[in-house]
Amino acid sequence: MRRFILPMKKFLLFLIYFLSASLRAHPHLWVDVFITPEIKNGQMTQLKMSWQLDPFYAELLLEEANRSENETEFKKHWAKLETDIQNNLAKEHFYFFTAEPFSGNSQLRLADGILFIDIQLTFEKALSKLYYQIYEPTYYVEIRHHEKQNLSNCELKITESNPPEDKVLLAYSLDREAISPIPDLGKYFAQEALLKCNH
Amino acid sequence: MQPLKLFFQKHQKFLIFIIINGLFLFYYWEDLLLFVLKYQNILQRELRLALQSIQKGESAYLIPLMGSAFAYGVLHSISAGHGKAIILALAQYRPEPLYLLRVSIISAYLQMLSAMFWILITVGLLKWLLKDSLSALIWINRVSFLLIMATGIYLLYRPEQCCCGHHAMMAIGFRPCAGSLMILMLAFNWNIPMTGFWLVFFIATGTAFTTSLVALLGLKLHHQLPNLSKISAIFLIVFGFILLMFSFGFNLGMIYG
Repeated sequence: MRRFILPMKKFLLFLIYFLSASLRAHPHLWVDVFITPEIKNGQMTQLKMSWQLDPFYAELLLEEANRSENETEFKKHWAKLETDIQNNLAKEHFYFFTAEPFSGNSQLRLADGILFIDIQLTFEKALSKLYYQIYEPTYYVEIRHHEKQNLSNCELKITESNPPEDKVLLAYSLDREAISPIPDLGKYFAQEALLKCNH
Repeated sequence: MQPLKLFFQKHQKFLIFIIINGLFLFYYWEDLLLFVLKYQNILQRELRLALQSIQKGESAYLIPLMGSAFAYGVLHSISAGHGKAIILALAQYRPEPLYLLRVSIISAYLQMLSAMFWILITVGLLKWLLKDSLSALIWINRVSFLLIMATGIYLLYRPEQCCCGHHAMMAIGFRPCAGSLMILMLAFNWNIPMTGFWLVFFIATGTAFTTSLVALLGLKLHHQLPNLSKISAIFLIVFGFILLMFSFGFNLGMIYG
């Protein structure tokens, strides 16, 4: 039976490939992450991250603020956006997945027309190494480390994900409005990061 | 059994060709699809970033950006589906190369026009926010899926010559491509509409290129197996229906958990 079912499944996926249409395929938005560990006595106490949002993402977030008539109105929009983002991120543990307990907060920053979310994570105890993943579980947003990292005292080892084909195709079949039927789709596409700071 | 035997004898070479290539595709399509998805992902990202550089006045990005736009158009129409299906079906009804190429090219540029029209109306005229304009697109999509089904039904019941080009072009062109829309949205909001126009033009050119290749493939198919017209029309109806289901929240996870 299994010998029969497997090719059937493959054939089904094959069909879906030809059926899939243009608006689908998660992810729709991208985030590039820059990290800066804070070192005290040779150990890491904080991890600072700058999330660079892709221009379209930034435009979606800032659009209302950009329509402001004056500076005051802009600042009002900006403050509301910043609070909303802080609340949403805190609810989701800053999309930062690790065994080490931490607390965090976030600010918005606009530099040279590029929107950043600056996040500070403070760990409960000082660490010499940290294993973590950053991902948005529904995979609507893809979060990745930027290729260029400026790390003075630490070493960052990134292992790229190797998502199974059915998860790739599932992501591909999800429409813009669709919500992933499995809770942790983003995890399959997430990088694995190992940060060592013991110099 | 006699007609079946004759059929196999007549198309022996082509059937072997189909089987070998079918097997090849069957084993390598995942790699091909993953390749296409990966580069489509990268290109879409690059297009957004480069567009931002142009907004800041770095015009050196302009020419590479046009190249990326063309590549995105080619790749995007390999991976996405509705144009290919319609052109393949049409080729079974009107197997004339020049006619099919014309339909492929015109429908690609119609798709560009529909994207521009959508942005001009919703963002330009009605001053909607981009997110609202994107959300409302689901209705455009649903109509376009109905149009695909309608094209299938039309092909099935009015198969006489000189029929279906307009319907096919409408069904393909009605639905704007997502990448083009986003570029137009950014270009519009950033006050560089002409750059947006040219980029979308090059995306459409890439799409026209791929769709034309598919049209020629459909033509070849018709010459080898001339009796596929009904099947291809029925396929279009089913295809449109499945897309419609997808747009109402049906997805792959429901098929195989």
